[in-house]
Amino acid sequence: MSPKAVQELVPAYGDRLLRSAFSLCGNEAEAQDIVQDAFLEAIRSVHRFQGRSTIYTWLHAILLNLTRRYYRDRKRIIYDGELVDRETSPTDESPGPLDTGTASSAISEALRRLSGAHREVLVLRYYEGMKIHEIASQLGISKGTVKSRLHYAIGEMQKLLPGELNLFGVCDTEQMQQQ
Amino acid sequence: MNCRNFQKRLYEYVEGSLSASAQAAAARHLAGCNVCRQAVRQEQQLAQFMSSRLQRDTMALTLRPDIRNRILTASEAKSSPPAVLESISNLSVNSDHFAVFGPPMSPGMSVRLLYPSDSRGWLYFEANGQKIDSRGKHFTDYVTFTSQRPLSFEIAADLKVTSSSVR
Repeated sequence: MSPKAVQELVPAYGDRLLRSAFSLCGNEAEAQDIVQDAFLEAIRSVHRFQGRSTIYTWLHAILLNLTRRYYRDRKRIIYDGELVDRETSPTDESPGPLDTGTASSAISEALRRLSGAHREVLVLRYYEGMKIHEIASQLGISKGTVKSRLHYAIGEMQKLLPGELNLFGVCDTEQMQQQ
Repeated sequence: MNCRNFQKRLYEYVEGSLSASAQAAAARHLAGCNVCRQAVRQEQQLAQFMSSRLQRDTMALTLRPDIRNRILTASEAKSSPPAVLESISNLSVNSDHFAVFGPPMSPGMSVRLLYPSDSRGWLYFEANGQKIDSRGKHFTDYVTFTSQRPLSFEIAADLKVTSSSVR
């Protein structure tokens, strides 16, 4: 990838990729690192880009892989930490209280509690605005699996989000929050 | 089209990606089915709600200038062939082996780590916050690391398949 191309791509897509990475990993510092690594990977492997998708979709696919690696590494660290915690404190399997200060933070918090597979389809669908067949192509799964994951992911969000906000009901949630 | 068939195509109906004939069949079904119309409204509201809230949650985020510069520097370094600073000989590849490798690099200099082409495993470079973590990849015969500023750095190697030396 030529320096000129990178000079155009970073301003064009850097912030958008960062926001998507943040939605996927929930940590700004990590999201910054993931976007940096995604561009560096793209520079190294641009010869693999065959033009079958948009350049943004290709960059986002690299970003998704790096985010998955972030979660794998983080899981190992958390697991080690949990072993220590269990030695010293009583076990509590129930989820902790959500930050209900705003609906936005509640959604971000709920996203972080989903499995990676469920979080990915929600972000691709509702943040990236991808169609079902585009998500299927991006994740390398069938359209039926995408729809199934969306169905269960939305069900999980309903369980995780505070019931009084009724975010997934048919009423106007903007009005509810103003009341 | 009955309710079961419509529900299977709900997402595609809302996003408008059904074929013309399927879209028409779905529209005919909707005209007489209050339950499915309700499902369409819920999906549309959910999409609007999630999209606006996720956008709002992240709209203040921007890529840090130092990261922008690092990406641009890397692309410029990539466009010219890296010069090999030094080769590493007889580096042990036992697990958790760390080797401190010097001297400090000048900006723009590169180091190339060579190792057996049949190796599988991972290499981890880290230097003052810059990192290349190559876990999970299958290498050919080298990786290259380019510095953006004077620094010394560490190389950790964990090549799990072969016990021969990195060369």
